Amino acid sequence: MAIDLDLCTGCGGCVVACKSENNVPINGRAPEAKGAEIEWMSLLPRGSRDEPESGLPVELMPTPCFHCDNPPCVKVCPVGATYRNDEGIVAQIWDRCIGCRYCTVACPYSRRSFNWKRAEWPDSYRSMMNPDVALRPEGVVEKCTFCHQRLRRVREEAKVAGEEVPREVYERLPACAEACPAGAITFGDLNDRDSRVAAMAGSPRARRDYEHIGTRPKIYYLSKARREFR
Amino acid sequence: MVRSKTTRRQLLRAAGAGGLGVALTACAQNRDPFKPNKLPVPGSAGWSYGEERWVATSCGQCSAGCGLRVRVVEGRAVKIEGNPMNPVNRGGVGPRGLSSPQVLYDPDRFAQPMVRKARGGALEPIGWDAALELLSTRLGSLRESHRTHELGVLCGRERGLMYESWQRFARAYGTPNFVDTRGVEDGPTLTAMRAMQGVDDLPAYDWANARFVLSLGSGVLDTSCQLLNFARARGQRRGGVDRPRIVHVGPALSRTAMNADEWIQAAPGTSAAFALGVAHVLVRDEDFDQDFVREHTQGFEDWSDAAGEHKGFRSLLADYTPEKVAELCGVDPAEIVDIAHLAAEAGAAFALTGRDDLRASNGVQTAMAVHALNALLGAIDRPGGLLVQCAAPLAAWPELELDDVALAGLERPALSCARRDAGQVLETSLDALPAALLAGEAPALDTMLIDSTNPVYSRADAATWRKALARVPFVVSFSPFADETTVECADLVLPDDTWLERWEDSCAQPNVGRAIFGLRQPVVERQLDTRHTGDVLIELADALGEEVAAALPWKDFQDAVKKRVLGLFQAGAGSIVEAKGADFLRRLYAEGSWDGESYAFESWTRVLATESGRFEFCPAALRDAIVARDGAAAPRGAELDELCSPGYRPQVTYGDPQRFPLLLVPYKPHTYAKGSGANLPWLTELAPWKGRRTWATEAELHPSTAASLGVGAGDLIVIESEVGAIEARAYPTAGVCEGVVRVALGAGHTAMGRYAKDWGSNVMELVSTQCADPLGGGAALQGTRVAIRRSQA
Repeated sequence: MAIDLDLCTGCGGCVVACKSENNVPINGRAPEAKGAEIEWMSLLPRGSRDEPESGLPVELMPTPCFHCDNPPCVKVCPVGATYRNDEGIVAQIWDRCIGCRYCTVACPYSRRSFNWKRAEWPDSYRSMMNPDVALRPEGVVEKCTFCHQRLRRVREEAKVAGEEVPREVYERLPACAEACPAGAITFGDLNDRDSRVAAMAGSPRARRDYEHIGTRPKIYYLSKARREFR
Repeated sequence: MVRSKTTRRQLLRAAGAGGLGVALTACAQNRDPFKPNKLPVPGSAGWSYGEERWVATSCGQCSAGCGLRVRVVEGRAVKIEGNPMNPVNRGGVGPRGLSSPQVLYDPDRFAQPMVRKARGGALEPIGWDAALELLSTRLGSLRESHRTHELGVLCGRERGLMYESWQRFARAYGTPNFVDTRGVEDGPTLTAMRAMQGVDDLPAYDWANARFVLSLGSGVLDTSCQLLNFARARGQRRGGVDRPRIVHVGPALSRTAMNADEWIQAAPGTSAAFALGVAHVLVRDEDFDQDFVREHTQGFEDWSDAAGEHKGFRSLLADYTPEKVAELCGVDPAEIVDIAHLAAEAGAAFALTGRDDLRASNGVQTAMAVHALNALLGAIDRPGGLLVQCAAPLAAWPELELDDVALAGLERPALSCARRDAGQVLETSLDALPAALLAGEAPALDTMLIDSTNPVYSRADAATWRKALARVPFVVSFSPFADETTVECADLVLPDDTWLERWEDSCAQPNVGRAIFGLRQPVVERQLDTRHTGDVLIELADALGEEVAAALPWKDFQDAVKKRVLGLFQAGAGSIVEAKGADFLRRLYAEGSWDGESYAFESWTRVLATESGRFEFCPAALRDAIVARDGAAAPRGAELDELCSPGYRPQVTYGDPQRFPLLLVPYKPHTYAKGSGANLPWLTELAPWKGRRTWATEAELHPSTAASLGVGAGDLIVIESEVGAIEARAYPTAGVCEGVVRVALGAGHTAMGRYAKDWGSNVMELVSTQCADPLGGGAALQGTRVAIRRSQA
């Protein structure tokens, strides 16, 4: 996935789209919810490099799971609930998770959330649950799946039709990419040289978060220091 | 042997049924909370197991009117996505639109009509027939006794078919007291457009072709429907198209400032001065569009008429040297000169200003100053400039025939805040309504119908609103949600459907210039015992006799929408052209919108519709309107000219500067807006960015201001003004000017359901109604002085 921060306006559409697609629970206002929020996609602020003391965010980074090629979370999972699948997506099997939370500690990006309590919502809200995504019980860790249900669906449809999934369909496939009003988020196969996402990842504006720690994340952020604050 | 009458098969059947019964009861008792609803969901009977459909509709969460595709599974709306076929958003949709399933499935909205039998009592359920009977009898007897003017309509809608239906209903019934909220947010811009261009609409902006955009305190990304256009304009770099350079001038690091190429921090309320400073440089350096000014404007040079000498815009600008303006705004004079040159060189540039910032005592003049700058830039109706939205060619409404009762009623004097006929330049003030209701011996109104607005929460001086509405003997609310006005003041509640359940148009604000019709259609069946307010109006009109019924001559509102859409079919142009009406409708239902041909620029007769047919820098219409409104009290001569020309008057502030040293800047967050989205937890939990507080009100203040008050990050503080006090959490940030407290609107509900109430504070409790704009409109949102102290709690 590549996210062009020069296009992103920080509206938060991706954050809400993710919650809606993946039945992410409402955190609520209870004091104990503080610091224990479940959010697969977050808007993280990035401060100015030139004036770090001002504390003003220059950019907001929509941050899903980075689906690292060398994922620390996978290494610590004692039961194989989280694993890097054939395509390189770091997947999570809710039913296998025993809730030890090693992975949440291991993730250097804090992109994993633990269900401290059973999610609660009013009866009427249950009508808007996405039937394609299982709800998570208490005691398991959850995270961004790159909307595997959407991925599987387009592949099944393509298979029935006897076709390949077109690249353009992949480009805006995850709920966050689909929703982005600015078209800042692009999804696709980084190994496919002709894909848009590979081209973006190769851009001189592209960088990855904490590249130096060797996790090899698969989310590329594109931005150039273009803003001047006077 | 006695044979049993019961056969083996019967026995098995009985056992099976019993067993099934037991199983079903068990299921109902131990319903798995992690299983989404299957059956029964209203309307799901017609669906197969696992069946899903995508329904096209138009978003009703803000007035941008984005096209949506809604994923409906077994009769349940589960996901909102943008509709790539819609010309407004072309796919993609913001957080407010995405949250709309929570509007539909709000657990606390009214499930049926409610009635309050006695004031002070609770709302109790009532059937629709009885409720409508109650209202129609009341309205019928008012009409019989020729007191139709005692019906008041407070309509929170601002455009679209429902707005027009309300207007027609009020006229046909015979009441001049139709009050709307059109002027509340966009009043100053509307006044500037009406006065200077003669156009009764907001401008649309041609972001796609602009090369330079100057945002003067605007909240394009925070509050406005231009969000999508802004986002897309920023993304234009690919494909060989240059994107515009966007410069934002304003007091705070808003979303707009963060996303602009450059942010210039300026004092609050000084946008007009900045615009005039830029204009001064353009004129001084002869960098303005001289052809446009010569051919299509009036009042640039000094002129004289029967009333005497008048100063032209060029002379007015002489005062606004960059040095003087820089001092007023607290910026560097070189920046103003820079911006003027950048704008002039760009070729296609426009300036725009903001809704919240214009709600100040100098709002109209600020809007005029910015608009005059646009004229100098040659931005009026040119590519990359300001456009006037083309209307979709909908079939006309049938001619309104008023009977004697209605005519007599309309002749009666109206409340000062009621909307007058077309041609009105100045906006009326909604905040004058409570005073008008409280004046006089007898109540001015007998019955009041309130639709789509919640003044007891969203207006300043809520106490007076409560008192005023309490004085109206019968208040009817059409709100689907249990908002403050409904819960506290309504005697009868006729809950509307939510917008995902009803037929309507998208009521979009001007957007891309060319004609657009966005269709809103039910994506799921009605969930609760609610009714479309359009249908209720049609039923009411029918019950009130032939004359009123003739104003709304349709079976239901869907029928009305269909009849008007016929005009699009007959136009035979635009994105949907079909030989047969049925085919046209089928495609419209499937695509969700219709859009017209490309925009024709420089159609001067359409966009410069003033009496002179020119863009008026010092508009005559505004001067006449002031004289007509104020009569003998109106200023005269040079004073009147000065008031009615683009100019900078410092914003009037309210409160003793000694006791209240800080200036309050309330703003509308891009999530839960001014409170109408506070019942949607997805929006409530969407902080400006991760790490900021949710479910709380934060007061942003400059670190030096915070330090001088001894307030640290996250401290609970009390913000006090002359009229009220609220609690908030301090958030020191260099993103606001010194001496300013910036607080988001929309929190602190006392009603509106479990998710909206009991968190944060309503900043409107601090705002007074004292700083009015002499050029019309509601009370100022800006200009309240406040003091801060640590909370004792």
